[in-house]
Amino acid sequence: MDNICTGLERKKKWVVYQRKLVAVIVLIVIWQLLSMWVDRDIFLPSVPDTFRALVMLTRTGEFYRSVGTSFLRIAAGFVLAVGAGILFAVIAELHEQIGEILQLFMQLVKSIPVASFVILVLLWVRSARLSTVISFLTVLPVVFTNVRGGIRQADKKLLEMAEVFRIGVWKKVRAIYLPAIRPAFVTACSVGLGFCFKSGIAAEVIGLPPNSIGGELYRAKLYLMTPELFAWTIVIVAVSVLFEKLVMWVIRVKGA
Amino acid sequence: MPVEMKHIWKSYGEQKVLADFSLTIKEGEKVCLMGASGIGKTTVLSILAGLVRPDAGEVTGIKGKKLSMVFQEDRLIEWADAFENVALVLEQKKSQALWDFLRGEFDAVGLQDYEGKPVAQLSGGMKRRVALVRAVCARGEFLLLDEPFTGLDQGTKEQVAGYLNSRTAKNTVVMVAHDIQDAECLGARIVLCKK
Repeated sequence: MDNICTGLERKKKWVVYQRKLVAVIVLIVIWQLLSMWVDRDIFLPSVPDTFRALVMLTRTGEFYRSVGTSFLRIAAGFVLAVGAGILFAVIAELHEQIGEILQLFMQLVKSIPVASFVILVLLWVRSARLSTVISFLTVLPVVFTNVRGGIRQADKKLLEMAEVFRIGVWKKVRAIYLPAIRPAFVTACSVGLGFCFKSGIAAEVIGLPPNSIGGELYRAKLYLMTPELFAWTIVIVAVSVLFEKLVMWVIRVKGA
Repeated sequence: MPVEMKHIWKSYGEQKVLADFSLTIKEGEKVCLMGASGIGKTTVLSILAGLVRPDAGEVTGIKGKKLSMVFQEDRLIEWADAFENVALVLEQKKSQALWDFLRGEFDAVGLQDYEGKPVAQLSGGMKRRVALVRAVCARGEFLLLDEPFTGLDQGTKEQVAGYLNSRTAKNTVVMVAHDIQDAECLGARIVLCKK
């Protein structure tokens, strides 16, 4: 029976992969057709030109330095935001007045445009730290809101049971709160990861820190090297997807 | 020291549930609250458990007592297995000895085919027995049982009643039941709740 189930699951997964592959191929074909129709590399480079530019980029040491540095800066902002978001959410649930203040602060952070933050933060920190601060500020309210919501979703009847049996804090957290928070936390991480790379790179384009993807993007735009611009965009998407897969894997393994 | 509920009043919105309710429970006594549905029996247990605050009146003698409870619903951690659910309310650290002890308790209530399964996969009657074993093993000096035999067939009910009698001989027990036989199973004093 188990073998049949595993076989069916494998077949289902294969069908999903096939569909994704078809979707990617269709989009690439549309891109190529559009570029042939526009017929100007400067506006829309062809697929082969973009991949040629990508291969050229990967042959330079600068490419790996930029990707590595940008990744580390943005990932650091993400990790710090996850930690702070959880901590603030717990504090907000423990103390109503502080909760109100934090809620207001998060709403403020959420509604301020990234560009305003970038310019403001550039006055406070070195450009090298900019993408870390910006990705932190982008992810923080997402994690805070979701984790706080998760805490509130904890089963009230189980909490009463814990109160009657005088179950300790850590046991209560592990058995009641964590399972309630987990789905909201996973959503927060997934949404936050997308946001942090977008905003982090956008911050780098404005702040132009040395050894950064944003700096390279800006340079490509400045010299109208559109294939390079597309190649860097592909790199950003790839790094962002890989990071998301890594974080989700950690959550799955550690949360199991 | 007896537990006393004195002139308790409780309403949920417009609905008056308890009006000037009083009850004295002596130490080691077994009391069974009976009466029509919605008369406030569960509210009495909730007030004793400290989960509901009465609008008026006072409860004395319960502060500081270690409580155990079987709730109207099982209130188990659905993703955890029977062992984990009971171990959660115990102070002892998890060990093979504890697991062997709990296995003995589960045997005593006739629970079978439960190992390695989250309680979500157990039947209603099996979950009820896990909740009962949890309440008994928590060793509360004051045991609150809200319809503890729900979902159990006659044979299992007798087995579980025997288990409760053997493990709670010295404890104070307040039980809510609809069936007079349930009260007789525990040799409990019947208190009829009326409007």
